[in-house]
Amino acid sequence: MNPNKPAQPLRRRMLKLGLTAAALSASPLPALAGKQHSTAHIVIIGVGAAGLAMANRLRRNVTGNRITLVGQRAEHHYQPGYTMIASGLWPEKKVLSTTSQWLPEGVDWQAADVTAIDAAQQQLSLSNNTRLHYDLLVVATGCQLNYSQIEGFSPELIGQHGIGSVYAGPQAAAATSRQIEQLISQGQGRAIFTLCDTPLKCAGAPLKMTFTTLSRLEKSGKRQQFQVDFFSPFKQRVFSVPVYNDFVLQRWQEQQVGFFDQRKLTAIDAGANTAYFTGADGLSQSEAYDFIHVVPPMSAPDVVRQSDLVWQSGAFAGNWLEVDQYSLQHRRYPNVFGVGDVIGTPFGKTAASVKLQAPVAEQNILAYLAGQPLPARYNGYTSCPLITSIGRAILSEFGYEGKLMPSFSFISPTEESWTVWMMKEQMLQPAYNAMLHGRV
Amino acid sequence: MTFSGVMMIMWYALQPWLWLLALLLVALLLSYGFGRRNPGKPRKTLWLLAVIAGLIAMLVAPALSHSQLSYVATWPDKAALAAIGLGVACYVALLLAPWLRR
Ligand SMILES: Cc1cc2nc3c(=O)[nH]c(=O)nc-3n(C[C@H](O)[C@H](O)[C@H](O)COP(=O)(O)OP(=O)(O)OC[C@H]3O[C@@H](n4cnc5c(N)ncnc54)[C@H](O)[C@@H]3O)c2cc1C
Repeated sequence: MNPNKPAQPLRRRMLKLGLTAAALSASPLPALAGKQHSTAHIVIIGVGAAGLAMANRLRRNVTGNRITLVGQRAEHHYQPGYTMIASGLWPEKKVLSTTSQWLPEGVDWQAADVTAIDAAQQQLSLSNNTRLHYDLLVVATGCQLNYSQIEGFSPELIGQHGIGSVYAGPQAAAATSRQIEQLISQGQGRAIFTLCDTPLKCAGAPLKMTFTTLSRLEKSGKRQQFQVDFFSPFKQRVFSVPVYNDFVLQRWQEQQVGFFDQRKLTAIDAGANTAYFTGADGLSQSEAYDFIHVVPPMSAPDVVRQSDLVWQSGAFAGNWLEVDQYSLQHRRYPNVFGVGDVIGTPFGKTAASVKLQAPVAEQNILAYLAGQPLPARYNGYTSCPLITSIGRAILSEFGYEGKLMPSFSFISPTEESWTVWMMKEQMLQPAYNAMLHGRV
Repeated sequence: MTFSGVMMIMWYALQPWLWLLALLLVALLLSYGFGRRNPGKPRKTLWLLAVIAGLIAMLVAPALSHSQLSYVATWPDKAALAAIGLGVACYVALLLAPWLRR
């Protein structure tokens, strides 16, 4: 498809795909509530939260066609549990399962990664040297952690020299917890927490790591022996929703956490336990630490960045998948949809967002296959229980423009609560599992 | 969130604990099998034990969830804790009722 040409009228494109949608009748939504018959080959890239949720949903509601799920990873990780591991509360095994256990019947799983996307030819190149043609593509490749953009840093350093990073996987989260334990056993020292200057998945995680470490230091009875500092690349900001930002900064002030803004982590000398931050003036400044929590810059995976599917202009240019922030349909390739962390939208990089995005993308894909206007809209819903101590949390839920979107009328979106902590500890994983099966 | 969504999540949350629920149910059934042969009014000790069990459950529930009692602060927190205490007290009362009769 030539992206410069206007998209073909939907109905004509459909006939080309040989679609015989049962719901080609005039009524848009009720007809789509049922199953669709289609011969379109749907390919989903990514076997994470979004890819599996989409595979389960589409398999249930589209009949007669082939659905292929592409992704090499045989192990599935419940990533929201990483924070619990890194805080010394959960064992690693609690977040591990296999990809195959979430796969619906009737979906082909290609256990290979995509190495190139040719959107014009509707073709993918795979790491097993095969090519795959698609009629409709769902991009769900998640985030890429760009640790290499921090000079002197590589993920292998996590768990050594006082370095931690909750993002790099379950082992890294466990290694992070051990580094924090080591800091505590030293009896004194300086802990530095950082934030990247790109959009990031679960933007609350760097803050949660700070709060749970503070809890552990307080529990040791030696909090006063430790200096805890947070470095943010932004001006007076650690979180994009003002009410939570203000809460966190205020609480840190009470907890004597040093706050250094407009400082971006640019290099680490692991051997010397020294981090280098670049300030707003462009000058580099060194900081010694006993423990540092590193948050890597993030982007869509290179395979998306190097394809024509990436945003061409604006804040997400060159880094994130170009989709309409409401319909989740690609803005130039109408047969491409995006779900999960990979999409370039103002909010929406949490598993809770996927829970809302998946049904929107599903409904819009069904409508697209039926040649009807896309009915569903994603409102930017993002949620993460913001842990403020080990044992309590705030249920932060918000959407586009930072609008608060509480799910439960009886839970205040700004109050710390044990119930919310229990949700994070006990209920989030079942909710996630139900989402993978496309059940919520 | 829809009611059916909440129910679905509850179902997923309960799945790993079905064995425990089954065990509690079996204990109750066994207790009632015994109780049917011992009709009579419950003793005061039964209510006392039920209240004590409920209170203990309320005291340890936060710790069991890696939290602490002082973090039970909002009214939903207090309601959840009360529900736990009430649930445990009722279960203990039902379980012991056939054994503690006059
Ligand atoms: C520390 C941490 C804490 C978090 N806490 C919370 C929380 O409290 N609440 C919450 O809602 N969310 C939380 N999240 C975020 C949540 O886990 C993610 O938003 C969610 O997993 C996104 O799903 P996804 O499918 O987009 O990405 P992922 O689950 O990361 O899956 C992406 C998949 O794509 C695959 N892939 C990548 N490149 C390719 C390729 N070239 N070809 C094929 N496959 C590819 C990957 O291997 C992976 O399987 C947290 C995340 C982290 C890391």
